[in-house]
Amino acid sequence: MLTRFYADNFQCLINFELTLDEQNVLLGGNGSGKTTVLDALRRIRALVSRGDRVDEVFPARDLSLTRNHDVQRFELDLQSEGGFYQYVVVIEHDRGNQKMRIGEESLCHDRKPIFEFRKGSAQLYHDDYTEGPSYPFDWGLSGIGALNARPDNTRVTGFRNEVRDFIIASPCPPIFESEAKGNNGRFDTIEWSMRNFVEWYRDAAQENMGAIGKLFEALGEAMPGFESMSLVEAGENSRVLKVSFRKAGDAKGSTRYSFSQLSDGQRMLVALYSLIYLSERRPSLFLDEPDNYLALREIQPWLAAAAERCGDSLEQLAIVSHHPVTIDYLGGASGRWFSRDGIGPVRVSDKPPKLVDGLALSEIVARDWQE
Amino acid sequence: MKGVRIVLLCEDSQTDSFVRRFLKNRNWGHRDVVTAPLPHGSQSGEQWVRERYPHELKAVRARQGSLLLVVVDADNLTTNQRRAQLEDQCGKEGVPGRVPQDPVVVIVPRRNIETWFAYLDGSDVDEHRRYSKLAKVRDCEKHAKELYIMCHERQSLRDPAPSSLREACDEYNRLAS
Repeated sequence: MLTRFYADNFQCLINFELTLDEQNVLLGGNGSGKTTVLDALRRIRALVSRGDRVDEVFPARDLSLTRNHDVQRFELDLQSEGGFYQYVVVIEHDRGNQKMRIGEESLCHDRKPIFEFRKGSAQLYHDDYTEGPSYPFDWGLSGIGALNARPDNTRVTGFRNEVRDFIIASPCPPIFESEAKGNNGRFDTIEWSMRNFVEWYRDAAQENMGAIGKLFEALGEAMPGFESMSLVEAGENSRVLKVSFRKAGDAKGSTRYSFSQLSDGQRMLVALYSLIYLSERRPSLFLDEPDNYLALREIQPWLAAAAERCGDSLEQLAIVSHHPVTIDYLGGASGRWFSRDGIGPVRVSDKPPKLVDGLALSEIVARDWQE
Repeated sequence: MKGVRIVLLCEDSQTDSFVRRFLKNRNWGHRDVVTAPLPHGSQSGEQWVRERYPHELKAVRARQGSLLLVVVDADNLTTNQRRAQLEDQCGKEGVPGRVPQDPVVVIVPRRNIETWFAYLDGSDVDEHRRYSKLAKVRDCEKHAKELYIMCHERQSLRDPAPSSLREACDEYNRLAS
């Protein structure tokens, strides 16, 4: 579970710190930095777990415009079953030459170093915290991302796997594809838009077949007539997600639709319930406005189900929302309140601002009556 | 019947989570229950529930087949005093007070919901004392299960049970029937 995130000099995040619990709702006006937090996490994941080069992940255009400084810093604190991790990465930019490099990268486990990279040199530690090999390393890559998994570095690779399993998305059902293409190796990452949701579903459903019944039950309640879903062969190495519905009282059989023939809201329901029921690897789930596209009637049942899955199939839930239902249901106990003065730095508090009594939280937010 | 069956009016997310988990054992799912907006940081949860009560009571009376489930801590009052406050609020709002045939269940944990958690953990409890909050909201899963077992499988509470929980069981039987 991600317990703390720190960023300095990334877009609107300047000396910014966010603490997180098991359930979190990121609240605040437009442009207050909520989605930027998810964006930064997504990039750190690409750097650390996918091995992307730093110049692809952190281009100079994402340096804070209001600060003339060429160094970015990110920190993650992560509490897992395997212990407490503290990760730091410092990125140095040379704007004149359009270059950037990793100036520093370090990882501690239970406050003891297990990986350090400084000035082109990496120091690895064994699982018993004794010094391991020291070696020159590429300034453009994460040393943790590039590390080969070995029996004596399971703490470092354990951290990498935790970050890899983060699901960070801003689901956009109009562009969800209905096909899962290719069959070569493991599925990598669910994309920001969740365009490749069906590919994720293919692997998740295979890994977690025991949960399919619960998923179908939840979808049956949310979408009247829903019966089941299946992946159907559609040419070489390609499968299409089909969704079966049955008309009430119709004994003739069910009608099968392609996933693309469902409405945006129905595709969103399928994706959201799949994420909370089929996530075998207990991910932290970071979602940008998951309540978009959902009918009003569907929001609280999904939130309640997602909250209930925390600690079970989900490690953590962090959602960005402007929706009154979400604000009234989770905002009081789990709100993280973002604020920003014009184009100034983002500030966040885990306590609601002083509020006006007698009104629902969403009403106060809508009227901007927080003090 | 289409739509939400139970409107849950309660003080906080801990109570919401406990009640939903308990109801789930009775096959009342998340779509059967809607939680009325929860109070926020600076507000008294009890006051919030009390002020909303007449409006929700009026609404469930108008919606046949729905039920209002109110859960409000007694704190330093008796359960009857807390219930009377709700009825007084109806008077202030010009809403006729609760009558036996109303689809309303009012549950009043005394001193509060944590008292019941301590009892369900196996302790003998004092309803005047404060008990500590659970570390995580979801830790109430086992308490919801235990209460369900007492209510439905054994059909009796372990002695000595807090009197507020006994009263709640009587109220709950109206829901179950």
